[in-house]
Amino acid sequence: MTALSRREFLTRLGGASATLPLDLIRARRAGAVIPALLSSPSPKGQRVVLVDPGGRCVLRESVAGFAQGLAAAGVAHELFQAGAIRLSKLLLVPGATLGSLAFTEELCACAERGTTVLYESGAAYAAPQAFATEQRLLARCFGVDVRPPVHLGTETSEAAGEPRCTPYIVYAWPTRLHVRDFSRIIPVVAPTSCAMATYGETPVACRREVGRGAFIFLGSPLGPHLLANDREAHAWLRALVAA
Amino acid sequence: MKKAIGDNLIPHGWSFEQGLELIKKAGYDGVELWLGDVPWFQMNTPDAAVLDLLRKVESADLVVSNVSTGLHWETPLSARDPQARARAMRIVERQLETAQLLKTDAILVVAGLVTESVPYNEVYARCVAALQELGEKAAQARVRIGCENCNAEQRFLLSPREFHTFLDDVNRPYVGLHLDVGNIHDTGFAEQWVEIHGPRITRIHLKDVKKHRGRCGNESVYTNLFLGDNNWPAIRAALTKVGYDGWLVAEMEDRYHFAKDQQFYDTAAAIDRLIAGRL
Repeated sequence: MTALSRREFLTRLGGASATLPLDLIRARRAGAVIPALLSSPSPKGQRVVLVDPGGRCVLRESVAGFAQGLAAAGVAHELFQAGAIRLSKLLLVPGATLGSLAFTEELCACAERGTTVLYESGAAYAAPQAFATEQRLLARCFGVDVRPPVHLGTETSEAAGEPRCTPYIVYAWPTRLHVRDFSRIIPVVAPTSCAMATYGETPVACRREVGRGAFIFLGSPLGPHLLANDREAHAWLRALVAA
Repeated sequence: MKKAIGDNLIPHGWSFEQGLELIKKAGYDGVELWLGDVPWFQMNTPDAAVLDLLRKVESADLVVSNVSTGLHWETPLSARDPQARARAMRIVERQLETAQLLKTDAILVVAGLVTESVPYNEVYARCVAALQELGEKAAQARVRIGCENCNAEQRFLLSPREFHTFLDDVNRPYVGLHLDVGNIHDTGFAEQWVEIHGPRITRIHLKDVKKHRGRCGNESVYTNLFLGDNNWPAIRAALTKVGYDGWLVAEMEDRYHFAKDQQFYDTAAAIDRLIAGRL
């Protein structure tokens, strides 16, 4: 652990407060235990870290999909369990639910220190109570406002004789392309400047600056498409790593 | 995207020039030339005559979208007879040669034919070997070979993933897929073929298909655009997804009992709506 001088600590804390959610600043001032990451040096070493959310993972194939996507792109990465995350330039958290304040703060602390945290929510596939927790934690710690999941239901509409449509998510960042949706989206209430993907007119992903890093919320899973070798999903991941 | 239609749909008794005039008037950008299927374009048509065809196409303010052939139904690359296979290879070579003369960069090949007597594994191995060799010649000619998915008729490469594996095994960049969105019938969904193959698609044949219907006498499973069971909005969206901006080539059956030229106009209008996404 690297020791910080009082001046350095105050400088970093002051700099971070411009973008930090209020709850986290209060928690830190009250002595909440997230110093391991806060006081560690800026991201060095391993560029990409893949987090296995363990019991918080709702979409197991997303973890496999992101691992496969990174391997296909020739990107070296390490796999860590939630609760033992190491700082990196890019942190990928696939198919997860936040579940607890501690895990959320662990991710938030990484972002504050300069990591880009990609959080692919699996909450649309979790119980309503788990989604409610997700909604609360996202707003509280990252300032991301999400709405209840929407089931795109192409199969049901087909059965009902309604016109079928292919649910494509249009990504505008880090590269512009279309990826098929995995059938359930979590809408995001985000200004145009933050929204990075939409389903029709509805934002389903956003990017927010947090401290010296960023938090990317994906409300439409990409991992299953990476596992299925969807070309555009792989292109998106490659662009993210290169961004 | 640009639209074309085959010269094999030019009404019987019409000349090539009359057909081109109709194609232009109906609003197409190009014409697909069928080697061996029309009197003006045969295996023994000399280069000078092929160049004359090009001159007529250009005089009609059209271009050649691609060179196709139905000759491989009789003489497949997968034949057991080595002499038949040599003839099949020569057909592809002639397609490559004429494609260069006609200033186009794609040909259509029906890669193999599974029959009761020539089983699947033989067909697969022969086609991979043949296309590896032809793929080298295609690269030299800078003309892409599009293997058409003739799922039901070929009984070969029935699924998009299988076709993908096949192209991986051929492993030649100038060998890809000439996708026919009407040929998939009940074995899948055209839009998924588009998604899976993306940049490997050399050209797209358009026709509609009536699913859940076998062939019976003169009844066909094929029909005009928007009359069948293809999910055209999904196909259009998939084309956008993979960034396809190439030729859409109408491959219709000659089903009009009267006013046969009307099919050219109707089909062109339907393709326009498909391109515009007004579905």
